[in-house]
Amino acid sequence: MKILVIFVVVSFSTFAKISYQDAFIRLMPPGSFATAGFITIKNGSNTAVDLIGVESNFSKVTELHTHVVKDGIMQMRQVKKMKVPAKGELVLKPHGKHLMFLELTKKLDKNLKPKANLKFSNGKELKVLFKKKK
Amino acid sequence: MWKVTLGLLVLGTLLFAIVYKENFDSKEDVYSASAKSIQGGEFTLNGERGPVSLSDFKGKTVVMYFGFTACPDVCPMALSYLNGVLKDVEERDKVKVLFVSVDHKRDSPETVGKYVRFFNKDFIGLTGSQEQINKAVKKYNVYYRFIEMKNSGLNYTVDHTSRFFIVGPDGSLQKTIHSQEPSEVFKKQLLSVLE
Repeated sequence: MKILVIFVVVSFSTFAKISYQDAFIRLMPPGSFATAGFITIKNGSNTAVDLIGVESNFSKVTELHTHVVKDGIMQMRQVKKMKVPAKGELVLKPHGKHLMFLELTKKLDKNLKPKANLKFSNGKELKVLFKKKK
Repeated sequence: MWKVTLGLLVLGTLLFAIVYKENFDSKEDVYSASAKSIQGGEFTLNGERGPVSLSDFKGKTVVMYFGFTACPDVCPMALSYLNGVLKDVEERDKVKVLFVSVDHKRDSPETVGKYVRFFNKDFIGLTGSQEQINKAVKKYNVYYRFIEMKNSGLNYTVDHTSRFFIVGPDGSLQKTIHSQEPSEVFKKQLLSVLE
């Protein structure tokens, strides 16, 4: 029982130190197939975790993508996970790593409250509310 | 004999340095390429109301960008950037913005038209057959390539050059500017063509 309590406390404290800021999605024209989301995920714990999945209330599919400029060419690629370092942060920003929302199910307009559950390698989830930018 | 060898070595090094600078100058790749090295010129693609040629805009300054509508980041940013710059340009009525989708598989003239109008009602969206697109991109040294994404809902993405082209009222290419340049730099270049 004692071990279980310690385990629960440790698990909770590890997750409790993950937070986010600067979350926004890009507004796109009606009928668009995709949009991108950006966020900074902070990990205050001593253990690194991976962002391994995302589910949103406005897309059928959400993937993790990187964006790199190589020899002046923009290249977007899908990745399976993104590391949030211990005592560090994972920054998803324009022209770089982003959440890729595909097969949009709702209009990306002022009425939408874009939300997502971010899933981490420790089995926990983080609920995120995104701002909207054009 | 050693003097000849040394001379050839120096000459070889110099030639290598010149060739390297011409082809791999990283500043040119990342920021602004010289318009002189790009041919530019006439092309015909398809807009929502039918064929559109660059020469249709003779007398106007044309700003062009090549991308695709499923591009979630750099293409919308490029269009927002242009919209922002133009708001700050008094002579914006003399400027036409053309967004060319190189994604002939997914984008139709209607899709592209709708996409660009979201950013500015006066922006013009164009695309075409692979042959039409290839003719245009060749003239502007634009690179694009379809990349299969097997486990993605996107199925494929399109690697592409992210650069603005400013064409003068006579149809000749005047400037090329990387899309990540500060907007003041772009504005200065645009104004120099408008003068």
